[in-house]
Amino acid sequence: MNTRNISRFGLLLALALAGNSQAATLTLKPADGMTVVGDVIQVGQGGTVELDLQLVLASGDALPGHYGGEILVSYDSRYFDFNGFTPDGTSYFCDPLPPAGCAPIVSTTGFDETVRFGFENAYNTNVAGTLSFTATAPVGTTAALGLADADDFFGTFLLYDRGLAPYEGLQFSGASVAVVPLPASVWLLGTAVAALAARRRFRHTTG
Amino acid sequence: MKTFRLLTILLCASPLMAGAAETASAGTVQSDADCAALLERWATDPKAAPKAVINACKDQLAQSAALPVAATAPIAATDPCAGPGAADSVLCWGPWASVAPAAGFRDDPAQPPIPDREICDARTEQCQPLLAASPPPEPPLGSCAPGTPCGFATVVAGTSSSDDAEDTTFARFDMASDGSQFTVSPEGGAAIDSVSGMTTSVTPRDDGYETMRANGRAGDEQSRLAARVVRDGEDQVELAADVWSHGNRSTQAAQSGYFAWGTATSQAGLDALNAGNVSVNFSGPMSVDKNTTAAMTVDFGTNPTWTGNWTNPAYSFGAGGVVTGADLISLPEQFTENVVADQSFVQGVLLGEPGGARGIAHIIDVTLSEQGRIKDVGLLRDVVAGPTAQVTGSP
Repeated sequence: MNTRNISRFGLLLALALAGNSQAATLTLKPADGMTVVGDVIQVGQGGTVELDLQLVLASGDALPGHYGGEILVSYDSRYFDFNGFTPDGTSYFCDPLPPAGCAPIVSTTGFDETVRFGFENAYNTNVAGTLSFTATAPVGTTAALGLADADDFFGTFLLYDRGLAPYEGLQFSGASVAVVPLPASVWLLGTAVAALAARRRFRHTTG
Repeated sequence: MKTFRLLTILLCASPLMAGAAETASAGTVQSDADCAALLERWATDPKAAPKAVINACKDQLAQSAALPVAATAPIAATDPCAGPGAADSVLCWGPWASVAPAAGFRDDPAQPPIPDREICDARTEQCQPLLAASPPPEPPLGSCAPGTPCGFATVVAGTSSSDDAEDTTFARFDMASDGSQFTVSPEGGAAIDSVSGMTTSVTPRDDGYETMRANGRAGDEQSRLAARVVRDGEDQVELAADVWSHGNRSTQAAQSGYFAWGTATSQAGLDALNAGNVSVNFSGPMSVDKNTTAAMTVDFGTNPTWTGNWTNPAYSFGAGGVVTGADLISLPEQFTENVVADQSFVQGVLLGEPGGARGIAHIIDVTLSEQGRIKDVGLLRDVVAGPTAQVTGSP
């Protein structure tokens, strides 16, 4: 193997490693306290869905350090109401900058609704922030919350450490939410609490 | 009443005191070296001296540096053409003597030889040898005029910003100081103009830079910058580096790359640095391969030079060369042994002024005997840190 072949082999190895280190996925993960069956979040009608925006690394991935970009969350406006995004150590950026400062921008076209915002200085696999929705879909509906880079041409995600560089190969993954009837135990508990309250009131009145 | 008299005396005396103070403070700077040292201190601490003193120093150093000839012994004493009436003599050709002998000129071995290259004063008819015997090498991407915006970029096809060295070309790079527009001018190719009026957002970083994102669309055309920037007090970008992209969303055709940009140091700033004989260290990461750290030292003076080294986990190499105006150009004989010198070059430009952000934008195109060809671009910052300042001067 001559020098040129060694160099090429080294280059291919470096590219393979680089590619491997950039196969991370930015996901909408169910926040603590959410009920999950399989990969589907279970929530009652009118319940709150909380989703952590978090990077998940595949086996062998390298930690990216600081990173940031602009995301687009898409959903059916009949099924979800957007409550807000709580950053966790990250800062917003937006383009263009509105007079009131940066905030998620909600856009609606028909039933298609999107939430768009940029965040800077997320770090490794830390939670970048938490999205909150109210599930308004009818019971029995399973609905999706999509996640994508806000710019599907150039991409917006950058790695920050030392200099800026495109976050090549970053994948995006949304969430599935099933609106379910409230469990029987909730009905039993509610009935019991109501009965106790009624009994106390009755005794108080008669005593 | 006493208070009124005292106030009157103070009012009358104050202009005199102010003038005396100004004279005294100006008088503390006596030599070019003092001036250079003061300007260097002013670069990091704008309150180090009054503006009048700084301006006086700049003028003084600019005048000192205005004569690029060495002070040699006058040869007029032995030159037969130095006397009165020499201009009418067929034996003499005045200042043209260095180009060709006069018609009736006969070589006199008793006379000292006329230097190969000289500069002559038509009034005194005295000639002095020029210091630079050979012209400096031409910057491969052209020269950057002092005091003008200047930058370099890599160019690749697609949106990935980087590719193999063989598929990467170099370009001159320029951008609006508010980040709203940029132009990439590749070697031998058509200029790539971004859409105009890109909107920008700036967020802080913890490394002395800010992150500027600029994005714009005009129909299917789209451009963007993602840059580390240093801005002045009026939010104008002084230094910038990293990612540029431009393309068409409909056809998906795009070009992208990395860049380093700023405003070349002015002639007055260069004169001040050269007159002070200061050495300034610069360092920073390269943009294409961020694992490469570059460190360069510029030795200012009568014949300013530079040296540098580039260190990567897989390799390192060194280079050196000359400084011409604001340009830094490598000399083949100054590459380290692991560089194929005749296939390699480094070009850079000094950026910024005393009192502002300073740096070097540069490109490297080197072939290493073990690793092959490397093309990269980088923005380096001057290394000035409190009591262990890396700026040194020799009086």
